[in-house]
Amino acid sequence: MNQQNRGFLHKYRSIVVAIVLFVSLDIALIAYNLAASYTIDRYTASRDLSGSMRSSTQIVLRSLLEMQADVAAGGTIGEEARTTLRDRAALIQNGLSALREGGSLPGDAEATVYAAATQPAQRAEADKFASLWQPYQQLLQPLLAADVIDAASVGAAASHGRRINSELFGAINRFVNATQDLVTRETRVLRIVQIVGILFALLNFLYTALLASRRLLEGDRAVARSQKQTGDILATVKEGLFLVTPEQQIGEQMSASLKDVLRQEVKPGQKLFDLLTPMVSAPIMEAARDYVGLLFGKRVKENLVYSLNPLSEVEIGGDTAQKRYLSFQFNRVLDEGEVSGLLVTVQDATERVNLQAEVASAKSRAREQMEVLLRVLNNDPAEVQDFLRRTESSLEQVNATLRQAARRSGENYLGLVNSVFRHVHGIKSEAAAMNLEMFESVAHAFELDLVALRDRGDVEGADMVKLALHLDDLFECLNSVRGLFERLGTASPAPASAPAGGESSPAQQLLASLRGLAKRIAADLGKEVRVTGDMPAFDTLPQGMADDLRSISLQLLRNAVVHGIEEPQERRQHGKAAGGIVHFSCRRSDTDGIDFSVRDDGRGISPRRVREALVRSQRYTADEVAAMPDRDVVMKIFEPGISTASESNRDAGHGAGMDVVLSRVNAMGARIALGSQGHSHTEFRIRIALPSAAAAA
Amino acid sequence: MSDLSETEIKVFTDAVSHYFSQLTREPAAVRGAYLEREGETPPVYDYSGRILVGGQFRGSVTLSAPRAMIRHLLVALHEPDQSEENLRDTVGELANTLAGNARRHFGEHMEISVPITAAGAFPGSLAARDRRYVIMVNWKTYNACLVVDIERSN
Amino acid sequence: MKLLIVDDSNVIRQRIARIASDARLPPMHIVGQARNGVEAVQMVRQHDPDLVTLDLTMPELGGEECTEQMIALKPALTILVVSALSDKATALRALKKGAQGFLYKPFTDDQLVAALQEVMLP
Repeated sequence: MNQQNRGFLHKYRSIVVAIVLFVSLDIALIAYNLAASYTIDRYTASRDLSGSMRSSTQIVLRSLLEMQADVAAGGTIGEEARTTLRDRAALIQNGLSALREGGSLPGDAEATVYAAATQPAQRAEADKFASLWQPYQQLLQPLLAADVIDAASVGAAASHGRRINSELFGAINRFVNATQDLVTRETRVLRIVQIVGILFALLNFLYTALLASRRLLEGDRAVARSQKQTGDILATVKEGLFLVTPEQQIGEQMSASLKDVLRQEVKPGQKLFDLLTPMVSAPIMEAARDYVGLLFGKRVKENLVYSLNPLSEVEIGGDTAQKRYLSFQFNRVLDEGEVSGLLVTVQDATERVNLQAEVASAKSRAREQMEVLLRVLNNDPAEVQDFLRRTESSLEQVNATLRQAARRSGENYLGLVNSVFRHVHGIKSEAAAMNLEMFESVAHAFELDLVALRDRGDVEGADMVKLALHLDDLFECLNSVRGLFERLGTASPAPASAPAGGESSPAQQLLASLRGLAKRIAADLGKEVRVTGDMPAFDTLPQGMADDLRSISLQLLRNAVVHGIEEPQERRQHGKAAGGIVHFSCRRSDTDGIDFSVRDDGRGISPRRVREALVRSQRYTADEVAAMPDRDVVMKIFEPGISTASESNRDAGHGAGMDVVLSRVNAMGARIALGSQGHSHTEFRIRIALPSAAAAA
Repeated sequence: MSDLSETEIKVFTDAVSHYFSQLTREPAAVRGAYLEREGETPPVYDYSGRILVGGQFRGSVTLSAPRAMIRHLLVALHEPDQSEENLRDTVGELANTLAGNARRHFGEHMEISVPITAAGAFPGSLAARDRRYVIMVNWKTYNACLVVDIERSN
Repeated sequence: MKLLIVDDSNVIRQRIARIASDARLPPMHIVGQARNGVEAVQMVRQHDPDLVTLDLTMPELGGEECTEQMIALKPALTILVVSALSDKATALRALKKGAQGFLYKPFTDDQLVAALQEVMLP
């Protein structure tokens, strides 16, 4: 504020000086005028007073002569003549002292002030007059005091008066003239001063006006210049620039490229969010409103919210035309500490985003290769090879399914989706267990699309394109990992039936995978889980069966950690150790089959939650669900699309896992049983009848 | 990851589908899609049309259709000339539609050759991808086959 | 400057506490470390902190409600949200309730110091 004031003063200093001069000149002129008028008034009063005294001298003499005539005629002296004589004599007496010393006349109601005689000429005449008047006045005293007037006194006074009359008159007359001269002179001086003053004021005014108009012109020119510069900037800048008012309207000024970047016209005064609505989704819009609102508020620190800008990279145009990304940046415009608007910068970020995506994909490929490298260095190339072999066979099966479907008419696409899902889910689980994150995330993306198709219900042939693309991605993953493997020179065929190095048995390998997966999922969920195992029979199983059990194990482990094991706090509340345990067992049964079981000491399967999930899936009505006995309800977890997880993520929530387990169990010709108790445990038991050859082994 | 997106593949399937719906009011439908590995051969019908692409991409798109299908199409168009040459031209026309759609979508990023046609399979093999996308298209009772074998060149 | 650290992760709390003693920052007195929103609100009531670092995804009481309750207790409170949240909308809602700044997890020491400096500006 102060700063601005100072700038203003500096800029208009000469004008301000001129105006101050003009005003003080006027004030001085008025002051002089007042003082001079006062002086002139007093001189005028003195002149008038001395004029009265002049006539009074003649009236005094005339009265004396009348009185003398009255006395000589033997008559009485009229009171009128005496009164006149007394008044006039007093006027002369008092007037003389007022003229010489200044001041007022005694008894003057208006208290007129007379100027003291200061001029030598005045003084001389006043002194002369006084010296003539004093003896004259002495002679008059007896005539005024006595009741009876004698002829001698009147005669003496009259004859004295007649003798000095011409001198007396001459003196006062010259005094009057001298005073008149003073008045005339002062009046003339005053007039000259007034004329000069007015001329000065006029000049000053002209100067001020000239100065001001020049400043204004200069200002206009500067404004025009800066407007031109602003215009030039707005016309040439690559980014879309505009201002948003606190009413969230778009300001008058905007860069020419704005309409090119947005690919639409923008009108000043248009509401910002009306502009954005057709471009972005409703949730982003909502977040953008919040963000802009926060910037207009005073509370948040601008620098600490940039990262939350929901419009920093918005996808525009969907998938019809070429997809584009726009970046909107918002910066506060401050005016005296208040946010007076936001400067919005819009850029086409498509290239940047694409580049980032490429870099990210290259990075993730590199990371994947690193992961594989680490696993190989960790001395289990056989395990990776085994995974690659299983995955490839799984992918080939999926492709065969797709191929068949493409050539057959009347295909049940929904059934196909479910079947593909089981394969992909299996691959995802295994990749997770192997810690091959890129594999896992590619499979996860595939799975999400499959879930979406399944939920949509009416799957058609055109949707198969999507599946083929995802399948291609998985093949690509497989090849890149395999390629790395080959480069490492560890491509020696290492069938899983003969573990490399012989250091770890298939059961140990499986348990190691399970521990890795449990650790990762538990860490994501803030849980603590330990995997234990007792699986002597696993190492003797035929390859296909071992693969199936491996896939089932991964799925059941995932379920146990996500759904079964409670968070540490909850476990403590129920008097359990903070860490949960998932135990795997694989033993030969009494009847020459295999008993496989997975048991967790978690919260058990809650019929209530399964009921809720059943209703949520919309496959059953609330009434149907209510009518089912708990036992039947719990068994519904094996149906595809039923999940008790409230949120979906890569570890749970798609309601697919138990479906995978059941289809594998069926494929093996095995049977599955389920036991569970609230806050205690959940156990899945699978009984497999061994083919006679394997049983004999 | 994958070189082509679903949208990009849809450019070609839509071209075929629209071609039929435009001319006969009955669109061709995608029946399914799968991957064909190197060395394997996709289904080949009597007539094939192909466009080659370059620029930021390389590879080809091939449409192969049975004679009966093309004849039926000509009948639907009230075209009495069912000569060998005319049938082959029709497949070339279909390939031309593929080229037009691709040009519209990919713009200057993709250079596209004039369509070439063959009776049966094209001689020689010039696979660009490790795994080509094979898309089966169905119109009335006929099946045709669209092979998208394009990858982005680096 | 009285600092309250709110985060459900013990590791993060200790790390923030350590960084808060950085020489570039004004002297910080850590008046409390809360593991969830309920504790956080309680500590604001008890210890009257000037500055709070707040995680958004916590058990019990989430960051958004927690911000609202803390600000209701002490409107002049400065709150820096420190979260790994990828959902911008949730973070923006917490800021709407009165927090002043946001910092993504994971963060480096320097990033936190800079964010604390910034958020404490008048």
